[in-house]
Amino acid sequence: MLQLKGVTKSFGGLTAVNQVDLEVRPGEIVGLIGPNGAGKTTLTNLITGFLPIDQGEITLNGEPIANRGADFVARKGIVRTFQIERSFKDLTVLENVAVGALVRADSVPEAFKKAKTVVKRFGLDRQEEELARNLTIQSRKALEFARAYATQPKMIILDEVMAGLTPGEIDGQLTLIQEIVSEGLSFLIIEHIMQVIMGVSQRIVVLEEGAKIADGTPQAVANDPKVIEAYLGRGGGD
Amino acid sequence: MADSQTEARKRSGLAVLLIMLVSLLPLVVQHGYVLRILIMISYFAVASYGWDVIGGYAGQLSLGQAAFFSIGAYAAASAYLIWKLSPAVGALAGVGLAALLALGLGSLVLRLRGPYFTLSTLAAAEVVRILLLHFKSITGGAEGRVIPYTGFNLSALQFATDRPYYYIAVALLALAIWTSYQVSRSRLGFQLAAIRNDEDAAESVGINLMSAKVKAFVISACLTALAGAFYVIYDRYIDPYSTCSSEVSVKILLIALVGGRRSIWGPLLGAVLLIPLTELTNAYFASIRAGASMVVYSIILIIVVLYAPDGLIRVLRRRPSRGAVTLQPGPKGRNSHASA
Ligand SMILES: Nc1ncnc2c1ncn2[C@@H]1O[C@H](COP(=O)(O)OP(=O)(O)OP(=O)(O)O)[C@@H](O)[C@H]1O
Ligand SMILES: [Mg+2]
Repeated sequence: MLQLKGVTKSFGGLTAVNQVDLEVRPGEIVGLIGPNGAGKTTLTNLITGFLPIDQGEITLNGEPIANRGADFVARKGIVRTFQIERSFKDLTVLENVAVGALVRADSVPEAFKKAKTVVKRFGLDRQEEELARNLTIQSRKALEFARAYATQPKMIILDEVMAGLTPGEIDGQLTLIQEIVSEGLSFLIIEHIMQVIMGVSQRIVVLEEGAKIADGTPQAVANDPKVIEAYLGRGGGD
Repeated sequence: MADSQTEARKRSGLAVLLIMLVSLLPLVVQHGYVLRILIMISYFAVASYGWDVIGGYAGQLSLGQAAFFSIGAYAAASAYLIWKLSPAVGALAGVGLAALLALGLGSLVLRLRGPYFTLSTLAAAEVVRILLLHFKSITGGAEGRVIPYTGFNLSALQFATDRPYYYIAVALLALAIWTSYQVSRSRLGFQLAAIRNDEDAAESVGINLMSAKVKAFVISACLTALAGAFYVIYDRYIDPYSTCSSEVSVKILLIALVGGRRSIWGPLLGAVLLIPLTELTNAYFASIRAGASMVVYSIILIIVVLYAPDGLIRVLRRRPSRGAVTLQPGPKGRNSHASA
C-alpha cells in the first residue's frame, strides 16, 4: 500500500533521512524506532507531505504522493499525529474530532455524528464539551489520535502518542490500535517504550542517523547486533 | 435534545420581537440625526461583519478593508454618474470587483504565514487610494464627487426622507448577520476555526489552507464592498480620503474587535458603541478631525486589548471566546512542525 524508495532528505549539511526504503501493507502495524535524532519524525513529515523530499519516491497504492502537500496526502488517506501535540486548542474535544471527520463527511451535522461515535470509542466522551486547551497533554494526544482516525484514513502515523501514559492507559491504547487494525487500517508507530512497540508491532523498522539499519519481526530486530549496537552505543533509547 | 428545541423557540421569538422593534424604530425616532446614526451603525456593522470573516473566523488580520469599501462605493457612484445606471447595479458590480481583488490578492499573499498578509492588505488600500486620486476623469480625484439629489427616484435609490435608507441598511445588516451565522456553522467555518488554531494541524486533516482562506477573504470583501456602496448611495458624496483612508480600515476592524470577533452580535454591538462615539469626537474636534479620531481609536484599542480582549459581547455574556486573546492567533513558522 505505502511504498518508499530511496527517500532522502537533508537539512543543510545534515542528512536527516538517507535512502530509506519502506513498505507498509494494509492492516499492518509497523513500529519505527531509533535513537533520538535518528530521523523518525522527519520521515513522518516526508510521508505526510509536510516536507518535500530531496530524492526517491513515495507512493500510495501506486500513486505518487511526495511533494504534493499535506492536505493532499491526508485526503488520500494517510494522517498523522504530532510528536508535540497540535490539537485545536480553542475548539471543544467534539469539534476537534468533527473537523477531522469533515474531510469525508457530506455535511457538518454528519461530521458531528461521526465525531460522536469516535469520541466515545476513544474514551473522550466525558470531556467532549471541554476545550482542548483544558485537557492534559496525554488526553490531547489521544484527541489527536481520535481526530486522525475520524478522517477515515487508510493509514495512521502515531508519533509518540503514548509517552507519559500509565501502563493501564497504554494497554487501552494498544487494544484500540488492535481493534482499528482489524478494520483494515495500517499503522506506523513511533515509540520509545520498547516493550510497547515490540509487543504491538508485526514488523519493526530501525533508523539510525537517517538510514534504515534493520527491518524485520520484533524478535529478529531485537537480536540484530546492529540494532543492539545502535542503542547500546548511544546509551539506550529513552 | 429537548433543551435545544425550547432554546430554538425562544430564539425565534426573540428574533420576531427584534424585527418588530427594529422596523418600528424610525416611526418612534423623530430626531433626524438619531436616524442617521442608526443608519451609520448599520452599514459600518455590515463592513465589520465582512472584516470578521477574514479577521475573526480565519484569524488573518486585514488592515485594508477600506480598499473593498471604496471599490463598492466608487462602483455605485460611477455606475450612476457616468453610465446612468442604477447605483444598485453599480453596487453589485462593486461587490464583484471587490471579490476579484480579494481573489487575486489573497491567492498571492495568503500563502505566506506571518505578517505579510496584513501588510499587503494595508498596501492594497494605499494603492486603491492612489488610483482613485489619479483617475480624476472617472473618480473626480481629491475633490470627490457629489451625486445630485433629483427628487424621489426608486431606481436611483433617492428618497426624500431617511426612513427608506434605514430599512435598506437594516436589510443589509440582516444579510451580514446571516452570513456570519452561516459561516460559523458551515464546513468553511470549521475549516477556518482549524486554520486559526493551527495551520499544520488543519492541513494534517486534509484542509486546503489556501482554498479556505481565499474563500473567507472573498466573502469578507463582498460584505465590506456592499457597505461601501450603501454609504455613497446614502451620503451622495464620495472622495478618496473618506472611503479609502487607513482610518476607515481601522474603524471597520475596531468595531469587530470592540464588540467581539467571531460572534453573531459582536460587530453590531461594536458599531452601536463606536459609531456614536466617533460622531461625537468628530463633532467635538471638528478642526483636527482626522487626527483626533485616530487618537480616540488608539485609546479604545488599548483599553479593549487590556480589559476585554475577547470583545464586549463576551463580557456581557461572561463567556470567554475561543482564542480571541491575541490579535492574530495562529501563524506558526513553516519550520516549527519539522522539529515537532
Ligand atoms: N526542520 C529542520 N531543520 C533542520 N534540521 C532538522 C529539522 N528537523 C529535524 N532536523 C534534524 O534532523 C535530525 C532528525 O530529527 P528527527 O526529529 O526526525 O528525529 P527523531 O528520530 O524524530 O528524534 P526524536 O526521537 O528525538 O523525536 C535531527 O538531527 C534534527 O535536529
Ligand atoms: Mg521525533
